[in-house]
Amino acid sequence: MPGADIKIVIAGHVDHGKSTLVGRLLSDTGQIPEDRKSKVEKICRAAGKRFEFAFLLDAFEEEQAQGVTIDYTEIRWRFGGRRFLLIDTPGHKEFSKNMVTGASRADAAVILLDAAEGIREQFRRHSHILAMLGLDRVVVAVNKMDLVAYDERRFAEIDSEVRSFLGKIGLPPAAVVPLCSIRGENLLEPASSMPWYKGLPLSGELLRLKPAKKAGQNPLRFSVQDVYKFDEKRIFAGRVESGVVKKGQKILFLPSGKETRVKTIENWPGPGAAAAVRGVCAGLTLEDPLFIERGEIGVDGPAGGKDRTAPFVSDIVPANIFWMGERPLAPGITYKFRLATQETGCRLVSVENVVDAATFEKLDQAEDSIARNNMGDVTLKLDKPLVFDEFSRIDVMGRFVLADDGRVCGGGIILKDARERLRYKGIKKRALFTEKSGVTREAREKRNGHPGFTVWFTGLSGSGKSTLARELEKELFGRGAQVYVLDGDNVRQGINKDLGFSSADRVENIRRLGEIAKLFSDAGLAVITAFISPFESDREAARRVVGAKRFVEVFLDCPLRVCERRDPKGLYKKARLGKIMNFTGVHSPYEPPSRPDITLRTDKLGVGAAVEKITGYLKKRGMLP
Amino acid sequence: MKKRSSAAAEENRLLELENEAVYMVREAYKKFKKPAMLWSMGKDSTALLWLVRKAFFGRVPFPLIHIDTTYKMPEMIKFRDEKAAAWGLDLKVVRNQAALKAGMSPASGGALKCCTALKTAALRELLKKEKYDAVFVAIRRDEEGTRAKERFFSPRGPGSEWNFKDQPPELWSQFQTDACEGGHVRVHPLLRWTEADVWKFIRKEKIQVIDLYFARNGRRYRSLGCVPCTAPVPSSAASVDEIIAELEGCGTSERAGRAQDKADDYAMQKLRVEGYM
Repeated sequence: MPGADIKIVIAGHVDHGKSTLVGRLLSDTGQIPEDRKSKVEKICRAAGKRFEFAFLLDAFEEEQAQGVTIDYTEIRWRFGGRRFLLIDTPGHKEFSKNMVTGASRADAAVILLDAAEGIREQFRRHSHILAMLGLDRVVVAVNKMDLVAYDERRFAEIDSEVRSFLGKIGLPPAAVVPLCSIRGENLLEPASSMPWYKGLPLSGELLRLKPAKKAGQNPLRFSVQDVYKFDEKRIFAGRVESGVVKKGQKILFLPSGKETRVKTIENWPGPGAAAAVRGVCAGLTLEDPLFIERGEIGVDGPAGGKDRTAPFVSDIVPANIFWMGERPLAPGITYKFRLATQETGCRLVSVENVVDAATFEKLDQAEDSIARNNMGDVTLKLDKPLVFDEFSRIDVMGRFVLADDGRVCGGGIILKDARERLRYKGIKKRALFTEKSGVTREAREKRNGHPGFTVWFTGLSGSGKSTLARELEKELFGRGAQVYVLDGDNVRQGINKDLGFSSADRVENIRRLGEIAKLFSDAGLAVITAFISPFESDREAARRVVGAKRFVEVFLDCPLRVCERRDPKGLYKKARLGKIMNFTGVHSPYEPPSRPDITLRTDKLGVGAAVEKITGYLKKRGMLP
Repeated sequence: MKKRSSAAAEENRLLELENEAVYMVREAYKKFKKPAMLWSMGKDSTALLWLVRKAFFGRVPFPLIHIDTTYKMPEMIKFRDEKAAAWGLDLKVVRNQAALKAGMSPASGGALKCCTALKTAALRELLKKEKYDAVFVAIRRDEEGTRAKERFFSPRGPGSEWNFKDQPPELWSQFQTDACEGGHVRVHPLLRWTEADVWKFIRKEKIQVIDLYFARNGRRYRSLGCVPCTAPVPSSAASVDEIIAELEGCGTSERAGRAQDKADDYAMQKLRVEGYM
C-alpha cells in the first residue's frame, strides 16, 4: 500500500536555509493560505524585517525571535501533477533528535548547504543519518549562490567535494543544484543569474525522484499488537509489516513456534476481507484456540528446513545505532529494546566502532560507549530472543529503538551482514526454534553471552594476583560478562573464618574455594580466584571439581626477591621477623604449576598487557564472545 | 488510464492515513492504563471517533469527553446526545462551573481568556481528577503552525504543560507511551491528515456530520466552535463532494473563522503551551 506522496526530508547545516527553501517553494506555487502569509507579513513588519519565508514553517515565537528551527514539521506540496510531503528539519546539533524524527519518515532527501560556507558539521552528520536510515534518493542544493556572486568555479568546487563525501558514505546524490532560495532562483525555473548551469532547477530534479519502492513479494510479517475479546470472538489485532496475509492460509507465530490457520480477517463495518496487504492494521481470528500475545510475529509457514525467507530469532543483535540520549550508550545499563510490537530488556555487549558523525572520523578502538549525536556499529544482547530481519531485506522488521528510562534515546538498523556476524559469534542464528522450558546451562550461557568458567590465579604473595584479578574483573564486566572475584578477604572473613593457617586448614581452604568456584561457574558466572594456592595437588583438585573445560589456571611467575621487595601488605617483613608462621616462600614451599594454561612473567609484564593476554586466551577458548 | 491510476493512488493515500491512525489508537489503548478521548462533535473528532470504532470493531472502549463551554451551537449538543445513545458511548460532559458562575464569556474576558478558562482549565481539572494518562485529540498539522510541530504522542506535564522545546524522538511507530508522574500523553492520530483528507474519509465511510458544515444562503461553517467566536465563511458547497472540490482550490486556512487564533500573533502557542488542544 505505497502512499502517493513522495516524502522528502530537507536536511543540512544550521542557517544554510532549509526552512526558507520550503517556505519559498510553497509560496511561489501559491500553496500558502493568504491569512497565514499576512500573519507573517505583519510579524515581520513589526520587527522591521523583510518577509521571512522560514516563518511560514517556524511558528513558535522562540523560533522566529532567534531565527532557528527547533522542531521538524511536515507540509504537503503539489507540483507538476505530483504530491510531495516536505519535511523541514532543524539544523542545530542540539536538535538532531528532531531531525532524525523527521527523517525517519522520509523516502528521499534534499541536503542543503551554503555556497559560501561549504560542507559543515551538520551537513556531514545529517548525511550520515540519512545513509543509515537507508535513504538512497538524494538531491543536494547548493544554496545562497548570491553570496558567491553566482560563481561557476565555486559551484564546481563544492559539487566535487559534495560528490566525493557523499560517495564515500554510500549516498551518491542524484543531482547537485545551485540555487538561491531567498530570491527564488533555480527553484521552479532556470535562473538567468546562472546561465552556465545546464541541469534542471530543483523542482525538476524533485519530479525525477522515483516514488517509494513497491513492497513486492516480501514474506509475511504480521506483528501482533493486541488481543481483543469483546464477545465470543478472539481477535488478534496487528499490522501486516510485510507481505500479505490471506484468509485460510497457514500461519506460524514466532518466537513461540505456534502454528495454525487464519480463519477470518475481521472488518468493521461490513464483511470480512479475503486478504490484507502491507501497512494494513488487520484483525485475525484463528482456527485453533492458541494463546498468542502482543509481540508475536506471524510468518508464512512453515516451509521447513532451510527457509531463506524465515526471520532471525535471536537474542544477539548486530546493528548500527544513532544515539540521542543525555548519557552515552554504555555497557552495564539495561535499555528497553523495541522492534515493531516486540519489547524486551537489552544491554550493550560491544562496540565494534564509533563514528563521530560530524567528522566521519572513526574514533579510537578503545571506545566502549557512544556519546550523544554519534553513531556506531554495536552488538546488543537481549533478555530474550526476538524476531527480526536484516534492514536491507525487510526495513520495518530491521529497525528498532532503544529507550532509556522510558524515553526513546537511540534508533538502530540491523546490519546487512547480520547472518555472518551471528554465525561468527557462534550464536544460534536463522532458525525456527522454540525455547525448552527449564533453566539449562545453555540458557544461562545464552543470556550471559558467555559460558560459566573459572580463572584461577596462582603465585607468591606479591606476584600481583589481587591486582590482576580486579583489573580482569573490570575488563570482563565492561564487556558485559557476569563476573565475580573470590579473594582472600571476602572468603576468609566469611565462609572460611573457622580456618587458620595450619597445613590442614590451608588444604581445606582451597578445597572449599574450588567448590565455591564450581557453584559460581555452574550458575553461569565468570569466576576469578586470587589465592596463593601453593600446592599442585590442591589446584588439580580444583580443576577436577570445576571441570577442566571451564578451568583456566594462570601462573603468575614472579621471582621471590621481586615479590619480597614489593611486599604490598608488609607480610614478608612480618614473616622474616617471625610474626607470621607458615608463610609461603619463607617457611613453606611454593610448587609452581607443571602445566598452567597461561604463564605471565609479572615482574616484566604490565597489568594492561597481562589482562590482554588473558582475555585473548579466553576468546580463543570460546569463553568470551 | 492516468485518471484511474491517480484515483487509486488517492485511495491508497487515504488507506495509509487510516491505518496509521488505527495503529496509534490501538497502541495507546494497549499501553496506557486509563485513556479517554476528546469529542467536540466537529468533523475531525467525529472522524476520529469513527476510526476508534473501526479499530475496536464497532466498540468504543474508553470514555468520551465533551468540554462544554455552554456557548456551543445547539445543533452540536443535539448531535452529541443522539450519537451517544445510538453508539452506546460513555460520554462525560464537563464544564468549568466556577468560571461560568463568575460570568466568563468572550465578551467579558476576551477570546483568549475565555478559551483558557472554559476549555483549557476545564480539561486540566478533569485530567487531574480522573487521572487519565492518555487523551486522544483530533488535531491536525495543517490547522495552524504550532500544531504543525506536534508529535503523534505528545507528553504533557502534571499541569498539562507542553514542553515544545524538548519533544521526545518519535521513530517508526515507536511512540512515547510512558506518561510522567501526574502527567499524561496527548495522542494525535489525525496529525498528518489535511482538512480535505478528513472530508474524503467522511465520504468514503459515509459518516454523518452536523448540517452546519453545508452551505445555506451562501455561507457555511468550515470549523465549529462556540457561537460568539465562530463565524461561517462564504461558500456554496452544500454536499461533501462540493466541500472537497472547494478545498482543493482554497486560499484561506480553515480556522480563519475562529476568533481565539487572532487575538495575538502567538495566541495559539500561548493557549497550547498551557494545555489547549
